[in-house]
Amino acid sequence: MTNVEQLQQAGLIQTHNPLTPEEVETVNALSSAEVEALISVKAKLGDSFFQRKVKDGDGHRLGTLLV
Amino acid sequence: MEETSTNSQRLRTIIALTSGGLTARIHEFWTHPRLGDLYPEFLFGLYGIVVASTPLIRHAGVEAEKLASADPLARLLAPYLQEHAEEETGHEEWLLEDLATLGFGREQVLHRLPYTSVSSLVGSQYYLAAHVHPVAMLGYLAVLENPAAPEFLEEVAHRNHLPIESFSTLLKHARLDVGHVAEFDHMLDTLQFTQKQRDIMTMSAISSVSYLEAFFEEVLEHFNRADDEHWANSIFHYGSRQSPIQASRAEALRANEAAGQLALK
Repeated sequence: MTNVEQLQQAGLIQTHNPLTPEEVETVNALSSAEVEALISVKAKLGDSFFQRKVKDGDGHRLGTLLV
Repeated sequence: MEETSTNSQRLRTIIALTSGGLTARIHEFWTHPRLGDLYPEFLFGLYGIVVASTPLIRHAGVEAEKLASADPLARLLAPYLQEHAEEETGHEEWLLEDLATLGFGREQVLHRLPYTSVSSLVGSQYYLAAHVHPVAMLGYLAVLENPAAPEFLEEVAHRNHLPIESFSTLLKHARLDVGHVAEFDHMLDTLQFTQKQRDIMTMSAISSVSYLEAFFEEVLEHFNRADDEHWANSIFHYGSRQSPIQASRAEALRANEAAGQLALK
């Protein structure tokens, strides 16, 4: 089973909200420890649709935070 | 499958993939209808993170130094982290000044306990640096060091009738850190990681995204509780703060009322 399939099974990648081919490549190249980390924090990868949508507009101006 | 991406491209892709919820919360925060009133509450939350920056990064630098003789990556990380810790020194004072321009004194800020999401975000990094590997700090920095654009911050201040002076910390970072993300990524691309070190850095970035999302949820939750009588006094409102003149009038009124009650007795 690929990482993408594993994360889909865990409900972290929404099937109605597919990843780009580059993202699929990155996700499938993650180590098992990295996949485990994603599952443990329940990181919803499908939500990146919103992130991309904002980024394509003016969302990049929002930043994250700072230290 | 053989990877062709650089260290930074790989890490940025993972952060972007996992930041959907965080970006949604940040968007919700900056466009909140009561941002003008509750912006100080956000600054208070942010203070909790920023006050820990220098000690945390320095701690990771010390841990890297301990490993340096047997670990090539730690040998490179130690001076980088020590230098970076110095760069962050005193930024918490900027935040105290920003809060002061909104009418909140140092004592009020220091009196409050930090958000639990802040202690989780920062505390987890102390743990990772001390008990796993200080390379974790790179995942944390990659997530947090991403300031908003200056023109966006100026527009937010204007739209919400907030004094631009109260944005000095955010604006200084936005202006001084131009190219900072690119420099950080370049540094990342010069490093050689073992698989385990890369796993630790990714895990740190993923958990930082998660805790940061919890931080923005906590800020927004405070916004929602602002009108609740029980919580109102512990939340920093800008709209309800009193100017020194208003405060002295209120004090005089209270003194008159007290005098009146005494006279009635």
